Amino acid sequence: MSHVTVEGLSFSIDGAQLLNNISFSLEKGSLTLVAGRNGSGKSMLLKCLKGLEKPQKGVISLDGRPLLKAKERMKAFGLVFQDTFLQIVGSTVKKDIAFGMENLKMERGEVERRTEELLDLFSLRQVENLNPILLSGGERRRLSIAGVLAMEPEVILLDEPLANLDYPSVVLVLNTLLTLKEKGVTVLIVSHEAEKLLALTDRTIILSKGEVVGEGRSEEMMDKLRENDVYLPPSASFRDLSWLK
Amino acid sequence: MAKVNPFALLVALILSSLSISILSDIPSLVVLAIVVFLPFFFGINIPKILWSMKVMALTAILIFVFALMADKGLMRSFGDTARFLSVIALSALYVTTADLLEMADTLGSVLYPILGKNGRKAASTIMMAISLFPIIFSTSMEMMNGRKCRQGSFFRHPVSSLSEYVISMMRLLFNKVVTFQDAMYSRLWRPDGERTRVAFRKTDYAVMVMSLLIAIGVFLWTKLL
Repeated sequence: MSHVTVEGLSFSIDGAQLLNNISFSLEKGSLTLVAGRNGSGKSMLLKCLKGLEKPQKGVISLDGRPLLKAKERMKAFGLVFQDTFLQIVGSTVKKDIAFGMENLKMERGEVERRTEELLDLFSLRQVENLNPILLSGGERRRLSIAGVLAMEPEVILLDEPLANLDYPSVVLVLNTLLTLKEKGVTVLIVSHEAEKLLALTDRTIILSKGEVVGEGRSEEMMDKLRENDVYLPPSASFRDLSWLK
Repeated sequence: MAKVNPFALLVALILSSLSISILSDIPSLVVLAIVVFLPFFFGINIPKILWSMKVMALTAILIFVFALMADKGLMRSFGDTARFLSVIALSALYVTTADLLEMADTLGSVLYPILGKNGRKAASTIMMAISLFPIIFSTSMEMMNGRKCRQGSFFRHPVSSLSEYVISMMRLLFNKVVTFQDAMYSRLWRPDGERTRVAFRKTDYAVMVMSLLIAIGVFLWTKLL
């Protein structure tokens, strides 16, 4: 049984069909890339999965159980936004990680224990008392992921996790994604920067104008990605694409 | 000071403000004002340039207050000004040392017995509004810089420039605020939701007890005089 199943997901607003009959599945512990041009519906897909938007049609299931209420999807899916500034709330790194757990009314002792764990896991120990505004782009992204992971969602959704990052920060975030994979967390990444992410992912889904136009193992999707105007270095092989050498 | 529980800080603020308000003996008031100002000076980390701006603004307000009360006599006027300054310093100390989220939780827990869930909503709304100030500020700076780069001159057509600027800023801000709201909700925050409380420690009880003792001491002192 797949960990996450999406069947016939459709979403429209003011007569514009933004997502049309989207179906796919995610295996537990897999890292999946959703790629496509700007306006293909990638971010809207994440919002529908998360429960921030209500799709007109379709069923989203977790371990075979349909998540019919937005509240259920809110808890099951953790979403890391593209703009980290808008997602960071705490006055320190430590407080920001604890924010989500405090919203769940977890016991203070448990909040502190998990915060310490995540500070070490995401190498944020040295900056734990710093204001998040002072962090680098890569560190802020790691903090956003830590803050979402703290709430122990079943699936983590990332919207353009490499946007506006320099090379060292990109490597930092890629290593973080590897850490999530090693921990068996199911991850869905939305990005048009396939050349940086493809080698890390297990499967790739290609969206175009709100529809799935391709789905398969990442190493088999290179030509399809190029056909759909997703940039990949010409004549590069799948192994060449790895940014983590 | 930043490590004291915001609820304890709030109690200390209220009791200290009360103490200052009821103290009428001028020398004692000046001593208390100095005691209040010491943590203000050492507890707040403000860049030097902002200090000089704040000191100038504060001095102007104090001269105004002093002049306003001058008809009651110089000593009385001096005492009222010291009282006013102390309360501002205490409030500033509270706002700058307490964490915004924890302040909202504290305010929510204080308002909850009176207003129920609406109390928590009110506290959360205040917290959200304050959180948005940096976003509003950075958005307006972005827009101003954008217009400067396109040689936009405000003074050529001030009315249309201002209305264009405000409309564009509102639109940009609205998008950012919606994303901010989505981000908060996606971390399972609810305006009327109860959150894990900040733990109380010995320091917090000590701060509250000390503030209470000072308030009682001041009350008895005024009675003796």
